[in-house]
This record gives sequence, structure tokens and C-alpha cells, in this order.
Amino acid sequence: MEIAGKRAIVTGGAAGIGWAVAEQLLAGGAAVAVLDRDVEAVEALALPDGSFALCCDIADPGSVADAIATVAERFGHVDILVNNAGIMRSAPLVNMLRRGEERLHDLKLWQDVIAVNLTGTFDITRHVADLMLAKRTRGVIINISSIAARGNAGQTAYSAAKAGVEAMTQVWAKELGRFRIRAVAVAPGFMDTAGARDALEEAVLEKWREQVPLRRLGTADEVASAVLSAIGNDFLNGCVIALDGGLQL
Amino acid sequence: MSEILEIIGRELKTDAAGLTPETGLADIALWDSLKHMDLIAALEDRFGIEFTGDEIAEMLSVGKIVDTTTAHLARKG
Repeated sequence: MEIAGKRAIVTGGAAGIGWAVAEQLLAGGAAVAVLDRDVEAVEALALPDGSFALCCDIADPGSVADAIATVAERFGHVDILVNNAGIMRSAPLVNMLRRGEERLHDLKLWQDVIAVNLTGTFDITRHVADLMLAKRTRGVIINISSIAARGNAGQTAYSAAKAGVEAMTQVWAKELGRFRIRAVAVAPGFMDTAGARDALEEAVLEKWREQVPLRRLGTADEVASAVLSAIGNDFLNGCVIALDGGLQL
Repeated sequence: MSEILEIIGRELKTDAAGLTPETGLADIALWDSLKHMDLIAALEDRFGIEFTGDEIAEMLSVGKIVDTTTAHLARKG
């Protein structure tokens, strides 16, 4: 798919990997609807004519429905959906440094991570896929997964959510492929992003660097490049692109 | 008409010769929502037409499918 002239949605698009994807789409000539729950970040975005930003919490079905209605009204159709919005929270299944109920993985933490990363991705995609089918758009859905989908110790909820995202990618590739709608997942490995820095200590990041054959962490721009490559290749469907510097070798 | 029936038979894995206008979703075991999508896509691909969402939701019998497809082809000329 050529990027120029296409209409794209990027969730979690006001910062980090999402913004890197939005920037590359804009540079390629696409019109972009940036969806993000961070009101200040959305208001601070300076987008070219034809593109716009909306406040949207993908864990809130009403917010998602409203946002997609607005996008449909302004764009008419959607060619590209990049499901990037997500949160990362870490906790052991059982924290042996604590006592009693506090030893257990917090249930609210699990529910929050699943609500955003898995249910939110599902919710917005069902709306956008319906729009693509109604308009007969030969679109593409890009899901940002993670190396955690293989199971990261200390990240039960995040790993489960990302594994679910990869499973949904394969389901959608099969269900929607007949209508020339593709679904692809991009699974970054250890990335040097604000989100990772907020969630993890520097010692953990340094340990990560040592594990990667390339001896460095990936960047948001490199994830964005992988996303654009997946958008551009019309025969790529249902697969997970591992962007991990060789970590899983 | 016969080609439409052939496509219905092929996509729904049933003998086209046994199809009647009244044959509906409940009469063919494989005819579920996913197969319906396959059938619609096959008809659109073959004839170069596009059904509306409302039409797709109403094409639940062979007769309705034939009528709707034929109407599109007539408009296409």
C-alpha cells in the first residue's frame, strides 16, 4: 500500500512509538488521526491540515465509539489503523517479599493492563474493521505487540495481553483477508522509550542491553520504520514481525 | 443466474442443483456469518460489484442473493 494520500489512525499517538509512527506516516503523505488519552499532549500536537488529534481512552468503549464516529465523519474512510496504545505494568505473580494478601499479584493491575492493551485494541478494531468493510477499503491493521508475548517474568498481565494481541492479529488476518484487509503485528523487543524508562529501573535497561546481540536497545523510529514497511508490503498478513535486535536467537 | 448459483454452491459447499429461491441460511449447515462473508466477497470479486451493508445483512436466502446480485449487474449495465 502506498502511504501517500491514505487516511490513518494511530492510537496512543501523541508520544513515544505512536508519535514516531504518526510522524513517518505524515512524512509519507498520509492524513493521520492521532488518538491519545493524554489531553495535554493532544492539545500540544501541531498537525498539518487534514490531520487532527482526538482525546480517546481506548479502555472506555464510549470514548472509542465517539472517536471513531468523528474520524469517520472527517475522513470518510480509514485505510490504516495502528493499534499502539498500551500501558506496561510489572508485578510478580506472587511477591514473596510481602505478607498475606499483598503477596498476590494485584487483580486491579491485571484488569487495567488487559482493559487497555487487549480489550482496547479489540474494541477500536471492531469499529474500524466495520468501517473498512462498509467502505470496501483494502486497509491494513497494524498491532503493536511485544517480545513479552512469549512471556516476560514479572509481567503476567502485559505478556498475556500482548499474546492476545498476536492471536487477534492472526484471527483478523483470516477473517478480513477475503476483503483484502490485512492484519500484521510488530513486536518490539527491548526499546529505549519513555514508557520503558518510566516502568523500569536503569539497571534493568542495562541488563537488557547486554542481552541483545546488537548490544543496544531499539528506538521508536525503528519501530515506526517496521510499521511502515508492514503497511507497504501488500502480501504481509497475519504475521508477527519481531523487532528485537536478535534477542530471541 | 446459473453462475450465481454455482458460486453459492461452491462457497457454501453444497450442490448448486439443489438450491431453490427459498433455500436459506437455516437450510445449509455451513452457512454461518463467516461463510456469508466469503460468499459476499466471492460474488463481489467475480462480478465487480459492491453490496451495501444493509444488502449483505438481508441476503439470507438464495432468492434474495440472486435478486440483489442481478439488480447490481443490471445497474452496472
